[in-house]
Amino acid sequence: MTFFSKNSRFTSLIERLGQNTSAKSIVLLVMLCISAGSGISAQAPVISDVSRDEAAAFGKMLIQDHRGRFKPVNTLSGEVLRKLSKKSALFGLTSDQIFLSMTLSPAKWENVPLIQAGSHPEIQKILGSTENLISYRQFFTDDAQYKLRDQVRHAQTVNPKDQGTFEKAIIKLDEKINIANMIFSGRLLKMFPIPNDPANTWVSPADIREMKMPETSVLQSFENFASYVQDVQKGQGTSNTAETGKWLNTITATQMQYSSQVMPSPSRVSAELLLNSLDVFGRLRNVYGLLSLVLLGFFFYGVFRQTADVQRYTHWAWVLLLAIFAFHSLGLGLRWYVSGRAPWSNGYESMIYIAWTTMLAGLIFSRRSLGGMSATLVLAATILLVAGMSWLDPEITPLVPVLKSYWLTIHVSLEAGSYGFLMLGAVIGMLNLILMIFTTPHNKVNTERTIKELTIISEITLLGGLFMVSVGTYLGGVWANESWGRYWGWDAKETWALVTILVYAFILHMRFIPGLRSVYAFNFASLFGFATVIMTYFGVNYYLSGLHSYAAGDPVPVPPQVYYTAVVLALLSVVAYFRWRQVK
Amino acid sequence: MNSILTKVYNTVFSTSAAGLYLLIFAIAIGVATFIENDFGTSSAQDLIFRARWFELLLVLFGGTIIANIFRFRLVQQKKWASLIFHSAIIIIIIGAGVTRYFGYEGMMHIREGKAANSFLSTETFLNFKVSQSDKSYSFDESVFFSTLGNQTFEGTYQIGTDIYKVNVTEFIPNPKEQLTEQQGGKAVMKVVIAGQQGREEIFVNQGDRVNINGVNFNFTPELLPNAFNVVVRNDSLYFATDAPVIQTVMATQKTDTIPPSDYKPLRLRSMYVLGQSGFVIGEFKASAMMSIVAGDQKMKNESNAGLRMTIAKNGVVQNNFLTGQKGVEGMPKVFDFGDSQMAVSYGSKTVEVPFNIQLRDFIMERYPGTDNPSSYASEVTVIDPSQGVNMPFRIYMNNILDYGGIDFSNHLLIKTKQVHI
Repeated sequence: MTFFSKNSRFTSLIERLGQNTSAKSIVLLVMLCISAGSGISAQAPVISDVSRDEAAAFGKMLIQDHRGRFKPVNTLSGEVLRKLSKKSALFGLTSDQIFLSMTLSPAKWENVPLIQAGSHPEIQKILGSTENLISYRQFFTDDAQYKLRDQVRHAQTVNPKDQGTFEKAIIKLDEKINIANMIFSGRLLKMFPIPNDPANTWVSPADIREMKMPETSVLQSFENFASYVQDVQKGQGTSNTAETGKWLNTITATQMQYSSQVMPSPSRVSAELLLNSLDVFGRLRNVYGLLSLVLLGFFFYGVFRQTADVQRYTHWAWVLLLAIFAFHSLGLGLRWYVSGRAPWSNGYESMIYIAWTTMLAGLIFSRRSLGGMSATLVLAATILLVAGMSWLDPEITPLVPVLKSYWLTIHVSLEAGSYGFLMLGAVIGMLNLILMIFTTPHNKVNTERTIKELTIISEITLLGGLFMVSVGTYLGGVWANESWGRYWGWDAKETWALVTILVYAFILHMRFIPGLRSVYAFNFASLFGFATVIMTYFGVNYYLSGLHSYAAGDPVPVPPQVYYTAVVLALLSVVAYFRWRQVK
Repeated sequence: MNSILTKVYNTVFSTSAAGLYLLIFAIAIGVATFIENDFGTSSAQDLIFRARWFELLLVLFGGTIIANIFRFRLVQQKKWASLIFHSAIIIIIIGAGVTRYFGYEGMMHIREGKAANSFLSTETFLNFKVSQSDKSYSFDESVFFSTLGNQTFEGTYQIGTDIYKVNVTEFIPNPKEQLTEQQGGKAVMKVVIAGQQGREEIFVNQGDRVNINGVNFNFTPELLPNAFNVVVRNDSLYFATDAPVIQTVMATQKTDTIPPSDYKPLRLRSMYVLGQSGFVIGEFKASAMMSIVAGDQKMKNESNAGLRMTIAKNGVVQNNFLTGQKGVEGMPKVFDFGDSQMAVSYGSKTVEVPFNIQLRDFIMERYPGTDNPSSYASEVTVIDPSQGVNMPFRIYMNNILDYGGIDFSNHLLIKTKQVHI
């Protein structure tokens, strides 16, 4: 309501923005040729014994993962290959081909270099290889001893807080070896339902062999699977898809017979396959990154070279952003449909959602400002970059009971959504401080106008963000009352959400406080105020114990980059302060 | 006079002051989360959330909002949105105050199939029971102790013609026993075993015979069969057994089997295995006293608290030490004054409600093929004969039961299918 009321600060800011901005645009032809690099890097051709079509057909089969989610093999194979080699395809083979072939011919694949060993010199010494990708076999000595055994044992006893890069790398590598081992032994292929199991457990061929399932139908479908395997191997080159399809259908029929009630619908499965093949967020990361550099270049060019008329094309830049945003929305929507719940329920999802709200904020409030759009893109690219890092698991995960509520959709969307808005304010604040540093008497008119305009955008964004986080926290209280029987309990996460609200309330009320009214003060505060959001979003989960940290564990050390960033930003703001005072 | 008041009003409720309140508020609660992390919720509440100054801060904060609503003429200028947003904060502050002073919280434990009509308060109490010849009196006192905040309590009660002075002199977070060397003490050894809850420490005094984890420890000069006999010679321990013992020196991992024999030197911090059980003699003090010291400074929900108390009846002083914890009824300790006894316990209070809640069924669904729960629900029946009520209800996420002015929500699942609501 605050937004649409006629004489609110919000509407008056929007009006001022309109006056301040004359017709502005930019040239944007360069970026049309962006597409995500599909990573064709086949130096050592490996011949798979599974053809692409058969692997794709197999990729559509449903399996049960260790968390109880049913998903197509294609999703699993993608996850596994990304974990092993940080690639989505390898040697010109799809992840499905590699996965299936590894399951069928372990002996052959043990010698194929597909595990990324990292670049730690100690580990390279132990493994005796400096290659980027090395084979499973290379992790074992000639008498089949695991080369990393002692190191892994040691690393596991070290407290996470005290783990060095070596221990971390060792643990990560050990995980990869375990995954590879599970593929080779066929343990990941949990696709056969135990007949009439009330828990709807599905088991792998390896499990069936050990369990000696009495029920013939399961054994039958296992044999079908085996015959399918042989078919595939025979059918090298000219494959017989009709034949293989028939066997696959038998397995699906068995699955349907026992577990049809808990299995996802076929349309959901195809949506998941589409989501996998589109790789929306990986592509967007590259697109946002490239586009942000180009736009930022044009923006600075326009500010410091008064003669250049880049503003004319701003409108086109906005349209382009809108199109990319539509793609982002599609990805998020697909994920929502596939998972059957709002796509902001784990770390990875909340990041892509925050990137989405950042784009939303930028599209709404910076329609006519190149600077605002650049800041938006820089931010969206950064968030997706962070989301793509290995510590965030992009898997779709089931929810713990307390989160199974429509309140999750409402509360978390507002909370996490506000972070996007507030972060945009912080990035604009930083951009303004940089502009202040480069202000000279010569370009003063232009920069001052730009800074003013960006500050207004930032204030609107922060108002939006504050509104969202306040309403979100309020509704969080309502949810808390329904699940824990109290509105507010000073839990660490609640408290820090409130700290965020208070700090941003302060920043937005600074214009009423004598001495804190300057443009510099506002931009400085909007940059450093964001520290409270970082604390709420990451800090609380990692450093404080409470009800909201569902993935608790030993505390993790503050990464050194945080300190470097803080020092750089502090320096930036000090230099900006003196430069700005000088010019003014 | 009037001008001074105006001046004070303008200072205390100025925009600058409002900004200051916001910042103090933010910093205070931010700091509180760290206090909570290191010293427990009770300390954070004691020092900040429930402190007087914090309440004053909130009142001032609310005051500045009201003052500035008028100063900026939000009503006259028809800034309805802003007005609603700011008034909402005031309503929230008032609501928080009401909950703080008039609300209460507790846990009702009901086993599947059973009913309950009482719950345990979340607040902690000192519960007193005085027995005098043929009469007894019970009363309680709400107390709040924390590692960093309040650690003492004083109260004076008159019962009949007697005056009881109750003093809590010390609060000890997570109390544990510790051996300290002291002249004129006893010889004590510390036996460490791997129990069901992990590492367990048991102190054995000279002259004791105890069975720990299946091993008979005999710390007397007498040599007993089927026992781990320990004696002190020249301020060191010696042991003897009638069965072979496996001894592993931790530092070198060197293992020896020691055949049954007469007394041999016992190695501290070495692993001994006698029969099926392994143990380590972790510590030995030739002359020591047991004392109670604070363990972890952090008071968690399930942490034990120790209280040193003195009670004086008409000037006759008795000392005692009692322990208790939040959410559990305390074990009473008796202060005996001869003709009367005062039993004191520290912990939750049982509060009765005028109706019964029966747990008919507790339902937990799991994700397919795993042990991970996907949802909980409780089928309950409210039985209130006085109102003629017999109401079945299903409590689940987002569906809480509200009866008799009390809200019930599912809390936790315990393995024995006991539900806390």
